[in-house]
Amino acid sequence: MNISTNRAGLLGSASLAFAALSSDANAAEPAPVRKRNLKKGFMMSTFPNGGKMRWLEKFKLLKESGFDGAEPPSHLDQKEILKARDASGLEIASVVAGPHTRSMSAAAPSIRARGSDGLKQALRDAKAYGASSVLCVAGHVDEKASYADAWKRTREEITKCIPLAEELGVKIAIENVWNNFLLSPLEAARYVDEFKSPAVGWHFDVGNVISIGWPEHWIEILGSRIQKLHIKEFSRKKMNEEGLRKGFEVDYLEGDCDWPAVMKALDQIGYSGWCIVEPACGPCKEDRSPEAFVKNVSVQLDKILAS
Amino acid sequence: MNSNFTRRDFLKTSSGALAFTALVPIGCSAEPAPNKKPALKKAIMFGTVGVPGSVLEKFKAVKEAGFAGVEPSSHMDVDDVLKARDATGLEIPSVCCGTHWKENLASPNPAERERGLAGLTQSLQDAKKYGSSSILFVLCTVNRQVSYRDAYTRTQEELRKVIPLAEDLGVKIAIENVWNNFLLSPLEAARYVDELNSPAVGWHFDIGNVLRYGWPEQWIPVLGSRIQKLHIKEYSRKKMESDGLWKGFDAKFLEGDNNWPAIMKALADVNYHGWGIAEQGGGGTLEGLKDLSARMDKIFAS
Repeated sequence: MNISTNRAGLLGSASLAFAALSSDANAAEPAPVRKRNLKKGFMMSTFPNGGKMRWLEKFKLLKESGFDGAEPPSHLDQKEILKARDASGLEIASVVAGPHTRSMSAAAPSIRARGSDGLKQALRDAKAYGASSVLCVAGHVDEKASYADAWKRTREEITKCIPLAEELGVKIAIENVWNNFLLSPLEAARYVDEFKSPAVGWHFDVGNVISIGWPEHWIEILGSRIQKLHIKEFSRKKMNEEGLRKGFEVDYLEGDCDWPAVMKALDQIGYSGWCIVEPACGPCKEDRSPEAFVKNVSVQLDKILAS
Repeated sequence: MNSNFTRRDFLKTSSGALAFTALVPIGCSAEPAPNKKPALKKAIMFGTVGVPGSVLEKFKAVKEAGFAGVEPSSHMDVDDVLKARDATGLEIPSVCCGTHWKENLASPNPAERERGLAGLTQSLQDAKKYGSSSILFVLCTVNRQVSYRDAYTRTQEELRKVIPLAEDLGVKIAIENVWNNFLLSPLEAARYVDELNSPAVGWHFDIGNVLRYGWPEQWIPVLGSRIQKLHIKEYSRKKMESDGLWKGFDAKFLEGDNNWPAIMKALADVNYHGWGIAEQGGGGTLEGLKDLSARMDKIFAS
């Protein structure tokens, strides 16, 4: 009951805000009225090739296209990002530590330490940018690092970073990716809970589970552990007919993600906050200018969030 | 550095073991040498035997191709199977439940779960009659309607109902890892088995089914003594990427991405000495069966 009252309240204020902005020249294709308290973000490593576009230009384009925030990688020049953030008015939703933290399952302790050092830097970057969490990939299972090894080693490395995360007030949000690890939603929840720290949560990638599961089931199980969302599409048809990874080469709303079911599951756990697009479809970027691509993704995201 | 030392220690131990072997009768050496191989017996899943004819004729073809055992489905004519078994001398190490794909044990519909449980019960009874030590059982299918969490809770609840019978019969319920979107982690698989707290529940490990996201040689040490039976299956990650997920299974034994020497070593390390059951395409003719059998010999010797 309470939830419906809240939603009705949100609806009212969101439509008001939209009405005030609707004279904006960029609103040529008016977005559906937002009925949820969600913010639109863009993962910068999937930004289309903009040639020599600088951070400020990219951020401005995102802002003009209707995004509220960006998710940059860690280890950048903080001053440049802060300038671009302030000049564009975008927020920094999250910071990606993934490329560093993948090494946290390596056999060599020195390489694992590089992972946790990278995670610590990402936490500091996030603090500087005002982001509430970092995206952390918990290692990588392969022929060298087994599932059991990854469990033990990544736990150790992440544990090292928890005091800093708690001190900074920035959460370590573990993402489900194709790293052959934490393949079960029940196990993912258990992994988080075993840290016994409010500083550890989940960065849920919707599209990454469709090859082995249903995102709406993951959302129900992960619940309040979810700090951020990656919005990604996936096609089971392409996975089966063209190749496993070809499943990602599909445009938003044309794959097998059941967006109404996903949004319903998010409503049920009371998720509010960032929905960060990670457009993984390479071919979708080829035929369009960066401007056209980003604007199109923004419209697609509006449709998803309204579904 | 440490691992080098360990290896040298191993070498020393094994030369010591040489002297030791001379003193004990063959077959009694308690400590196997480091380069040991698992002693595997060769069987084939009945459903993959495509030669035409009666159950007896199929068993005969299996025998002629060099197999020592066959894994029939449940719900077959028991007399037919027993006659074929006795006429050929094949063993029946395992029975594959014939209802687990049709009747989802995690279905939200209690009537369907009941039918699933009845199929499981029948499989255990068939296995007892054939002298099999375990049955192959697929727990359920996770799908849009059946969530991972529901699957976990419901299947454990249903299994608990049938465990007393399995214990009485002395037939183990061996859960197989298949593409049912459930128990995708080896750690979780082991935990699931242990939570049932019964010696009558174990694992039927399918080697090829984990290659899409894992490595069989890593599952084997985690599952360890829970492994009751093995399905020997090939899978090609290359075809998975270039042709489609399911196309990965279109690979002959030894032509896919299984690292058989590593798998054989992992099996020996956990002291698995039992049945290796082929579940592989190509068994449509006697020649095909012979080819499978010959390739399995190479796999077991790798």
